[in-house]
Amino acid sequence: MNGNGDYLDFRRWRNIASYLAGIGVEILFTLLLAGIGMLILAGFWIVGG
Amino acid sequence: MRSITILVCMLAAAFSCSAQTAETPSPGSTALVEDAKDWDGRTVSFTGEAIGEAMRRGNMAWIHLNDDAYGLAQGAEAGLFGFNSGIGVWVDARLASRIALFGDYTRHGDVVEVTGIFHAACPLHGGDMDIHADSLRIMRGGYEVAWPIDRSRLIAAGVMVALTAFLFLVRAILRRRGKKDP
Amino acid sequence: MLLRPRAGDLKVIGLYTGRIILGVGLLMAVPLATALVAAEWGPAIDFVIGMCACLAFGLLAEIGCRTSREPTWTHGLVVAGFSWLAATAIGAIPHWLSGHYGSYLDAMFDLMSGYTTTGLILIQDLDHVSHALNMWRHLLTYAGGQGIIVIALTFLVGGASGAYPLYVGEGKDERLLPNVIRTARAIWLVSLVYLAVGTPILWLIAVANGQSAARGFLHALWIFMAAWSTGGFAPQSYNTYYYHSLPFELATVIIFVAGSLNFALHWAVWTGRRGEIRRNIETLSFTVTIAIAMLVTTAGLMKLGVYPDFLASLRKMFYQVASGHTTTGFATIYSRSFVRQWGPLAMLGITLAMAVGGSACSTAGGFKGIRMGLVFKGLVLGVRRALSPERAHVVVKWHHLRTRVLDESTVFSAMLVVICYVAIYALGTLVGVLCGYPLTEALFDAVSAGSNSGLSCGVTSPAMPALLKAVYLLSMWAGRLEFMSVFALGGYLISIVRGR
Repeated sequence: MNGNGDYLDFRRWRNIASYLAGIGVEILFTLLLAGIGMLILAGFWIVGG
Repeated sequence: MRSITILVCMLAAAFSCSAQTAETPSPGSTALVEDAKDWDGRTVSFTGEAIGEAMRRGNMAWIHLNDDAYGLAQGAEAGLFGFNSGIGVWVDARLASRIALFGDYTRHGDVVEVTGIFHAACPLHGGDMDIHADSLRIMRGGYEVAWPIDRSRLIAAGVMVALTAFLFLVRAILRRRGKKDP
Repeated sequence: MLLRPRAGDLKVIGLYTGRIILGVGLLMAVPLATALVAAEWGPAIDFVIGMCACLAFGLLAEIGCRTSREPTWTHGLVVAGFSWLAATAIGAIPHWLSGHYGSYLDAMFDLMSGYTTTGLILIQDLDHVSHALNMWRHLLTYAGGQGIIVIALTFLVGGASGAYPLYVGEGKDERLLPNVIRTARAIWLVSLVYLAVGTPILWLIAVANGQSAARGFLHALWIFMAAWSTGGFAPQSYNTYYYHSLPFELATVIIFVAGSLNFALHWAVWTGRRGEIRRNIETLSFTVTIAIAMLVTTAGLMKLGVYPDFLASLRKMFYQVASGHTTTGFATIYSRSFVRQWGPLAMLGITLAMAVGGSACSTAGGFKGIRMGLVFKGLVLGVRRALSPERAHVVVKWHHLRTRVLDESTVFSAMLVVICYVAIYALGTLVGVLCGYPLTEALFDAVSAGSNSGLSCGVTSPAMPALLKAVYLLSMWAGRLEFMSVFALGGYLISIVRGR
């Protein structure tokens, strides 16, 4: 695993954009988990009546 | 002496509550949390110290009332009586604005009595346990708490600073000596 | 044959421990500054005392343990273990002086809880605590999450080679970048960018929720630090229930899930390798285990009809499960409600979530996703082997930053550590039951301590027996360090006594 030292330079706009895109992906991950929770709950709700 | 004062204040608070609201039960926060299902949907009155702040949301507001020993007794600031205990109350913002002081490090907040419906899992508030209050009364005003500076501690701090400075000096000297030697 | 450590070894350990305590002392400058700005003179004096105690310790170590030797692997492990204990003992001075603790053990408990990003608390009358102490408590979780050692690496250790044993001793064994110092910098970069993005967002939500700008800022900062570090401390006794806010819950969930991810994963995703999040064994494992935990918890909640409303059910179920699984410890329900409202089945779902924990090389605790994944893959390997012809060469692959072939020693190591976690969960449960607590409750808080989660069902309290406090304190310590440091320290002590 390596990153070029390039990415450690937080003053470059390209890098900042890359960090924020990364955060975006991670937010989607959480939303995915919440979605799974919703499905599980909906399943119980429907079965439970 | 202080513990007697605390005890008397707590009893006074308890009696004044029950005298005024003889019809409405006034369970403590512990009872509400332990037996939420039994109290769910019932009208209760609740008395506690307003802590933190009133969070205004539109026409309504959230306040938190602590009915623990720190909240109800006077002069209990320096004592330890376990964790805080209380409940969140959803109340009209105008009623909430009656509260002048909220408890924090420098203040003991107003002791407030509210009456309203208790919810074990409020559908309006994402399942929160809360009281939707329709009346609010200030039972006892809050007050500023002055924490006097402890002299012995100030002296201890002075000693520690001197010690640290001394050690810093010793280290600096040793380092310089270390550099001099080949 | 046990070799007794030489004076030179003890000097290395003393020196590096001292440097770490020095770092802790410097960290106290932040709450000290807070006290001065807020005109909290009593706490200011307390922090001067605490800071000087740490600095004096560090300086004494530098004076008494002068050596130019580089630390070896063993030193690294022993320093990691020992310095956390020393930091707990000395860093608790301001806690103790605040008057909010029933005993020095209680103060140390909260220190350990903060450093290990657990989140169990023994602090009394939190709602009347000074801003300075709240700053210290939350900063502790942030610093502890980063690892006291990463802090020391970044600022205090000069050369590169000496640093690595300390870093690994501390439980993070990813090399993000070839040079360990650069790895530490990358970890800081990720944490600080999240801080820069997350705090203003929480601040906005706080103000929109009706908090003043000043209080809103402090709460936003503290909650961010506790969320990102998966610590779980909060400035009010009501924890995150205090905010009664869906946006706040959403923001904190996003932050603490991110905080539970492996730093190496962050780095991959942030430097263009976004597909890593789909293929990584830890995210896959986490998704599977959280789904199972949600299944069990939902079954429990539905069975008892706790929340009559779909949205309420989702919010409460997901928040508590996610908080437990990431080993954060934020709660939007009362502690006792786990027992009195949720019931044993839902509690079991949360317990399982906490036991498994977050990702490796993150601020989270528990078995860790990578081990769950490896153990599962190990089972797959075993089954495939059993079903294949004798001479067949069975290969099972797994992906963590790059695709690798599964080998038995990796599975073995993973299983050993899982067994160690199970052992501390069991020990904590046993002692809890011994002290008179019901089994489900003793299990819940014991797993919470060992996995550094921080959710409590009411067992953890100032009235708890001192024995149980001590057991939880050591569980938090051992769990955070993932045992190797603990064994190394134990081995060292034994060799001092018995070695030649």
